[in-house]
Amino acid sequence: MKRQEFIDTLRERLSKLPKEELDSALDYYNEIFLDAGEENEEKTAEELGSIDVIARQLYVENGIDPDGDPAYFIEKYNGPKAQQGQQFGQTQQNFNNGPQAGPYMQNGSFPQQGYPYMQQPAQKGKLKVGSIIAMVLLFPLWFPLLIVSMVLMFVLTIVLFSIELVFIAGGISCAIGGLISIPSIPPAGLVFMGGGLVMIGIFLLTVKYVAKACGRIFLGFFGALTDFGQKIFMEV
Amino acid sequence: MSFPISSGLLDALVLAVISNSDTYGYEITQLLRTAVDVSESTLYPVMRRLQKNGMLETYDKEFQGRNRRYYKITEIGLEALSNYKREWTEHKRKVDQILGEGISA
Repeated sequence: MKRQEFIDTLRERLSKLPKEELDSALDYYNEIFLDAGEENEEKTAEELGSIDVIARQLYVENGIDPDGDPAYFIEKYNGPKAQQGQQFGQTQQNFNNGPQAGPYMQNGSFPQQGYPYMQQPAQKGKLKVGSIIAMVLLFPLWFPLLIVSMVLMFVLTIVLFSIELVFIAGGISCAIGGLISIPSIPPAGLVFMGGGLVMIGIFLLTVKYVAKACGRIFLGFFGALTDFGQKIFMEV
Repeated sequence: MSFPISSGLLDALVLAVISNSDTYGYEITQLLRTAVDVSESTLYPVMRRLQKNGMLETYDKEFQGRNRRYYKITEIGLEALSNYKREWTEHKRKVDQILGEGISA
């Protein structure tokens, strides 16, 4: 098998990987071929071994079932590999307890298997009981803060709307007042009317953005609140 | 005959090779091949995982008009390596004890 054929087959076989992972893997194997030299492509492909094995290993590493089974349990793949890992099982077990543990060591649920290859699929949506208790106990501390920040948010939006209100109401009344007084005091009437129209203009130009900004403040606030809540209460 | 190599030991070997000096995929496979029967197929996922766990970092360097990805060990990687080394020494001692005479220390 030549380089291109190997890469193409691998790409096809790894199609379920996220793009970043796929690119990284293909780049790696491409580089191996180039470094091994063009004249050695057949030999290199042979040494690289079975594409199927590569693909399966990468899928397992990425928590994807190599056979496309939706109800995928990583334990299934621990069988034959675990036997292999047994030999140094104790060694790895000790590592699992070490403080230097990488992410894959944190869940010590493969004590006997001790096969660091095997990453447990990420468990999402699990509640942290400790955090909930802490939050309930700390209620007097964070609740006033929450209320204050919500009040501040309301004040901010009300102020923004009031400014807009001043512009539109002041603008309309100045324009009408100016128009009425043009016959009696023409200069003053014109000035008032002009000023009024300018204010209406400012209102028309800014009202859209102010409304948008207020919406964003609210959405942003509640978005940040939910994110924060998720971070505190959910185990990732 | 050859002994099957465990993943933990392979991690340690990869970390050891890279801790000597920054190096690239092909060179790592060639170096490891002198000691263990391992094909690149099992190496890439290992290095990718070590990278994801923050034990390795990569950077690209141009070589003959193309990219070459170099691997560099991190602080976390060095720490893990020293732990692996300690564990390995202990493991070897125990195995040697059972295998008995004729094993040079």
